[in-house]
Amino acid sequence: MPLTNTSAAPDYLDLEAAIAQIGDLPSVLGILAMVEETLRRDIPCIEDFLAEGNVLPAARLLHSFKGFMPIFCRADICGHVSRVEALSKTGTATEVSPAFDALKPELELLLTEVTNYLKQGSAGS
Amino acid sequence: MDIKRARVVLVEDEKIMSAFVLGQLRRLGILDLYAFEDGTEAIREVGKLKPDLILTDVHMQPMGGVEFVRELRKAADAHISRIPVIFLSADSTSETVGQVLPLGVSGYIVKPPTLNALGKKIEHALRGATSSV
Repeated sequence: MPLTNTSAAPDYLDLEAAIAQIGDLPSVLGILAMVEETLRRDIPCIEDFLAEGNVLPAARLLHSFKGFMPIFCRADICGHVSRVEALSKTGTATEVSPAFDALKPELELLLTEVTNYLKQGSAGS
Repeated sequence: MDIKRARVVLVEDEKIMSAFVLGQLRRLGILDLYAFEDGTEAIREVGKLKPDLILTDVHMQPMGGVEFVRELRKAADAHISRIPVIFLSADSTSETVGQVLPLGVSGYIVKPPTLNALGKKIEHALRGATSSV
């Protein structure tokens, strides 16, 4: 299985860094399966919490993203998540919502990249 | 103490980070591992497990890492109350670091931990050193 997506180079996934940090490809695939499940579940949750004016649970989810994303993501998206997470600690939902709206397409693209990579993995096995 | 003979407890509520850290610990040769999802569960089990080292997240529900270690330090059994603790957190603010320092911690690692940093902090902690934050 190639380290990179051969159909289109991933924008946000850094698979070489992931293997270096995690140790081997099967472990990377295991972690990415959890990442896919988490992003699929939590991106809409963050949006819903912010729409309800409920910043604290949105901040908790962003905090967990900030912790795990440097394992397998490029620095630019990690930096963007960190900035929105920092704002969510002190800002109101009205302040955080537009910042998250700007981040959401990047997270969704990351989710697509993870899904595509996992599909490649299952097709190759 | 040989790092590979250590019994280590991980307290981490985030599934991805827990899997990642457990994988890192195995790569370091540490195989006697136990994981819990928050401080409430961990504080119940640590007395029975008597680990050589605890790695804990800071922000967890219902019992976070700071409260968990405060409870641990109150244990009547000196072996339990003195277990070395390394905090793991994505939060490197001075406020959070300031909360954990008085708890006699052996280290504070910003997530995600690199293999090298984790190995060094664990070796340091198992030597009985504190406050290498």
